[in-house]
Amino acid sequence: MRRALYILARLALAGVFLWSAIAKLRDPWMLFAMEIDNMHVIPGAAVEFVARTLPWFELVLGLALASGVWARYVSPVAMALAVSFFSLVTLLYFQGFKGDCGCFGPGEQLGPKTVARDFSFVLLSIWVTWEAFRRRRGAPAN
Amino acid sequence: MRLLLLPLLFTAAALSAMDAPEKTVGAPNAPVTLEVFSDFQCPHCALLHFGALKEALGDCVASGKVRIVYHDFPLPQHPFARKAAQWAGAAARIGRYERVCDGLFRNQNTWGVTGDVEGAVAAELSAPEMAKVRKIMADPKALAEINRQIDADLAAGNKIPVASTPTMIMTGNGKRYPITGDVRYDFLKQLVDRIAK
Repeated sequence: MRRALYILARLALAGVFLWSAIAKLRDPWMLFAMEIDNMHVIPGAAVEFVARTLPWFELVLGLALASGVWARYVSPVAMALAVSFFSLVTLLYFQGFKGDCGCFGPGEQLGPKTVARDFSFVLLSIWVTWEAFRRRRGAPAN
Repeated sequence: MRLLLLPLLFTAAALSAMDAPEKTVGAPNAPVTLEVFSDFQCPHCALLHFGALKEALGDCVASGKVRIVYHDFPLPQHPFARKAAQWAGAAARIGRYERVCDGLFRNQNTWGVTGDVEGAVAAELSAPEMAKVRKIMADPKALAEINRQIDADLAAGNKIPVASTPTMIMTGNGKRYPITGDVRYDFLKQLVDRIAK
């Protein structure tokens, strides 16, 4: 039962990253770049690099989570990314930022729902990571 | 996919149908249309106006790639924003919309406190021009028409929906992209070039 729950949770987390990646990749990268730049949280020179690479990184991460390979390496990375996104949206929300969050493509204004949703992703990623490490070394993760 | 695009294209067509020609800049057949929803009391709108939009006017608009359509979106927390939109609308009727926009955005920290929008507009226009604008503002029928246009802009923005100002809607090549905030021109230009291909 717990194993089935773990697989479901891992697939759900994979779905989040795949959804996020595809939503960004189907539009020109400049849109995501403008959303990131509007947040004023990373240096201007790094905006283009992040906008071009982050969606592909999310895609690879989502595929790795879905396949279950190297779960003990992949899930902490997913957790770190989920925590980073949650920290960023929480910071921006309390700063009064009213623009797009850029989470799942353009057109989503950052608000309390964004913060709550990202928090749920953090909890999900923590549990997936915990389960990945809980399994005995050598035992298959999926 | 085409079915998904239909409502977006319909909205874009509806927006275009009610564009006020005096608040539109650029070639009517430009491949890219940029709809700008802004508030004269919004600091980020001023940054966008004097940043990316000014650069776009001198580059993408001048080259015929982009048509810019200005929409008023006075926010309820800005007490003089609607008044400013009214004066700008009146100035548009004598062909001085851009000049008055420049003045209102440049001096928003002054009239935004005092409420002296008329003074800010007068500083941008010659005496005969200002007399014409005052006459338009004093005409109840003309003012009602200006208010109707502002309400139409607000309704169009709420339909999108515009959640914050400035918000731009870029339309071209059958696609439509929402863009919020005072964005960098280099990214905006690259997006225009991509869509205009």
